[in-house]
Formats: sequence, structure tokens, C-alpha cells
Amino acid sequence: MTAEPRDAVEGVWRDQGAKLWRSLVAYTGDREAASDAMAEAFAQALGRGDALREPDRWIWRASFRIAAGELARRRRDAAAAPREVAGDMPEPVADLVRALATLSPNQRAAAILHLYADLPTHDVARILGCSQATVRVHVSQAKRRLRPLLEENDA
Amino acid sequence: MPDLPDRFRALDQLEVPDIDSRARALGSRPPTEPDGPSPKGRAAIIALAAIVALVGVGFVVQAFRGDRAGIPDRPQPAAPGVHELIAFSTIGNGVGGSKPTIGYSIAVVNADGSGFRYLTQASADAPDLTDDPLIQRYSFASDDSPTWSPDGSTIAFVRHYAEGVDSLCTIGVDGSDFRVVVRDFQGAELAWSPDGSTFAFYSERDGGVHLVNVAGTNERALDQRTSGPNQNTPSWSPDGRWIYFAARDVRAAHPDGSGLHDVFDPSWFVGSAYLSPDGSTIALQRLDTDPVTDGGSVWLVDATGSDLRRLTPDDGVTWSALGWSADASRVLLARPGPHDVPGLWTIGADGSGLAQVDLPRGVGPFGSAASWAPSG
Repeated sequence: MTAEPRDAVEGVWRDQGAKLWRSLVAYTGDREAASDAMAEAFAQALGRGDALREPDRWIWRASFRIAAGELARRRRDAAAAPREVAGDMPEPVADLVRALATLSPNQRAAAILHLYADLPTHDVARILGCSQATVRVHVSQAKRRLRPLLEENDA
Repeated sequence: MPDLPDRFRALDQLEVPDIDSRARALGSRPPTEPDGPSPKGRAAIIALAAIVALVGVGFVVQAFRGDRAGIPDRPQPAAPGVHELIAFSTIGNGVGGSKPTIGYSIAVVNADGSGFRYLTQASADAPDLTDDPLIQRYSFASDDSPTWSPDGSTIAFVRHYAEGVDSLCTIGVDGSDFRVVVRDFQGAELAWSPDGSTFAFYSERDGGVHLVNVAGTNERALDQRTSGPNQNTPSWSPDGRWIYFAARDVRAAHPDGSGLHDVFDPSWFVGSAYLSPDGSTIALQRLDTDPVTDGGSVWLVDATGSDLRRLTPDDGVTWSALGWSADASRVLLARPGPHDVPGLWTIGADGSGLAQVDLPRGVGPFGSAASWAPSG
């Protein structure tokens, strides 16, 4: 790997790492799952070297897909003990993460990427592997479901 | 209540752990799943990938295919009227639809709602219903961007694996002959050329339209661009001499990149644009400055860029264009329905006959992309 691609990957870590990790926590409801997905994505990005022309987009996409894979594995594991979502998080965050957990994975990811990570719908579509139209629908659905849930928590 | 973006900013209270050292502990890695194979197994996978890249993957993947006899819910041979079919991505695992799934599968259905069947099963939740061994390795995948071969026999699509690497795949419309054409494919919005030789697609590499031979060889950029808006939703002219695409406006170029020009340049943003199969008309999605709140509407304009007219109702709903019927008489649309569940719709090119494609009970809602079968 040349210095330039490694620098680019490290630049993504430096500039976007915190936002990405928090987004993954919101998506998975689990700090460890977020950390694992992010670490794996960065390790793979380093391994891909020159093949990555847009490392930021690739790392976001890979992180969310790895995290989605982990969620899918957990869902299939019938023997797994139920997890308490956001149990170790401060209250305003826990409320949000619990509300997000009621959304479908796609709605949740779209809402986090658009409303928290501030990514335009086009970039969200690329990360989720769907069309912009679908992203708009997911975000709209997520907003509609989140508002009453969060208002309930505020009451 | 604070607005939603404010609520999301609560996440900034979370203290970020030392992931840097965790990533470095993993070291530089080739693409694998987190709890992936042993080093020996990984070497075998890399060797397999090399073979795949060199030889063209079809028969290699075939070697992994299990005995299909006795597997329930297999796609059945195409019924008469195959050329009425719409291929689309849909949420659901296709096995009773009882489990929520993360990814999309490719399915086909007639415009009248009949003949529904899944073609792909991109989930390890249904491990015996996939021909793709990589599904097992990477837990799940999501299939999207279906496009038809000119003879209507085959559908190409993009499979997004959980570990972040995608594949360009094909499958027969009868569910047979699944192939991975390009293992590490960075693209979406496939469009199969009229002569069957080439895919045009949106490339993740540079945000532009790229071309690749159907064998997966000779990927090249349509336009050697270094900046500018992304180039989305390529579609071919019926003689294969032009590729139209959306890049805020509507543009067209010859497949060798020459002759690039603006076809239609409105004051608003064009989200997608599809040339009709007869080459006469472009269906396009109009987006305003904030697509999330302002929605979208579908309009038609002549291929010359003249005679703009609205196609979808002015009802405040977000409408998206997806493509055309083979005879160019109808346009395929998507819009959110009750509870914002996305649905597939069709409408006559004259604005008449707006109708939803009724999917069977238990089938997940329309996913994100669809393509109407060609005339063959």
C-alpha cells in the first residue's frame, strides 16, 4: 500500500471516525458491535490500498453493512439472550437509541445517516445500496415513527 | 419537542473508545467477514477470486451449487406473457415473508399483480434457497438494480454483500443459471445494451456512468470526468448509439464517450431520467432543493428536450420514475403508499390509467429499483 491511500484512510478516521462510531452505536444499539464493525471496516480499507478511490464512502458503507450483518446474525441466533438496548447510555441518548430500535434496519440507517451524519440522500443511497427515492421514503417513515416516540419520552 | 436533528445531536455525548488501536490490531486485511475463514481458508478464497476474475465466474459458482431437487418455493419456469413482467427489488425473504430482513431480493411480477415469484434469496436466513456460497460467508446480501437482457431471458442485478464488497450477477428469468459476473463490482443502476453486449451503470468509483462488457471485462468510463455532478440512471437509445443519463440535467453521449451534450437543462434538479424503448421520450424525476421535504414528481420530455409535461398527479406525494414498458406506452413508477410503505405503480404515457401493481399478501413492499421486461 502506498503512503497516499493509507493517509486517505487515516484521514477518514481522523475527520469522520467519531461521527461514524456514534452513528453505528445508534444503528446497532450496542457500543461493542459498533466498535467491531468500524474496526473491521478500517482494517479492510487499509488492506484494499489503491483499490479504494473514495475511502470515506467505502468505509461508511462497509461499516454499516458489517454492522447489519452482525444484527442479522443476532436475529438468527435463537439461543442468544435478549439484549437491553442502550442500557449503558446516558438518558437522552438511550431514549433516542431505543426509539430508533423500533424502526426497520433500513429506516434506522437512513434516518441516522441523513439526520445525524448530515449526508445527502444521494450519499445515503450509495451507502445503503438503494435509490434516492427509497432513502426519502425511509427517512420520511422514520420521522413519522420517531416523533411520537420521542414526544412520549419528553412527557 | 426539539426537532429531530437536535435529538440526534444527543449522540455527540457518547465518548468514542479507542477503535484506532483495535483496527490496527486487526492489521491490513483483504475483504473478509469479521469472523471469517482461517488464513488457509482465506488464501483459498483469494485464489478462488483470482480464478473468478480471470475465467468469468459462472461455471465456478456452478460448482458450488447444491442439489436443487426437492427445494421448496423454487422459482418456476416463466409463464406465458413473460414480456409483461416487471423485475424489482423487494423486502422479504420469500419464504412465507414471516421474518423481517435487512436486504432486498429480486422478484418478478406482471403489471396486473399476477405471476409473482422471487428469483433471488439474498439471505442466510434461507440458506438452502441460494446458489451463492458467498451469502453464507457474508451472512446476508441485498439485491438491487435489476435490468433485463434484450431477449428477456436473463436479469442482471447488483448484489451488495454485508462486508461491503458487491457483485454484478445474472440469473435466468426462470430462476436458473445464477452467475457472478464481476466479484468486486462498484456500481448500481444497470442498463443492458440493446445488442446484449454491454452494461452501462452508475459507477461508485467516480460517480460517473461506466460501461463493462457482459462478460465482466473492459470496464471503462463513459466520460473521463474529474468533477461535476454524479451521472445517474443510464439508459440506451434503441439503436444502441446513445446513452442518456441524469446529471442534475439530462445528458447523452455515444458509448465511446463522444458527442456528449445536454439534452434537457431545467432550472430544477433531475433525479433520474429514462429514455423510452422507442427512443422518443424521456421520463424524468423532478427534485427540488430539499428532496426529503419537497418530494418529487415525474415528468415527460421529448428526446429532443422539448415539450415538457407533467405525468404524475400534483398530489404532494413523492413520485419516482423507474422505467418504461417495452412498447413505450406506460411508465413504471414508485411512490409511498399508506403508512409510507413504498409501492410500484404504472401510468400511461398520456397520463391515463394510473394503477398500483398489487403484490400478493405477505410479500414485502417494493424495495428500491425495478425494470420492465423488453419486447424480446
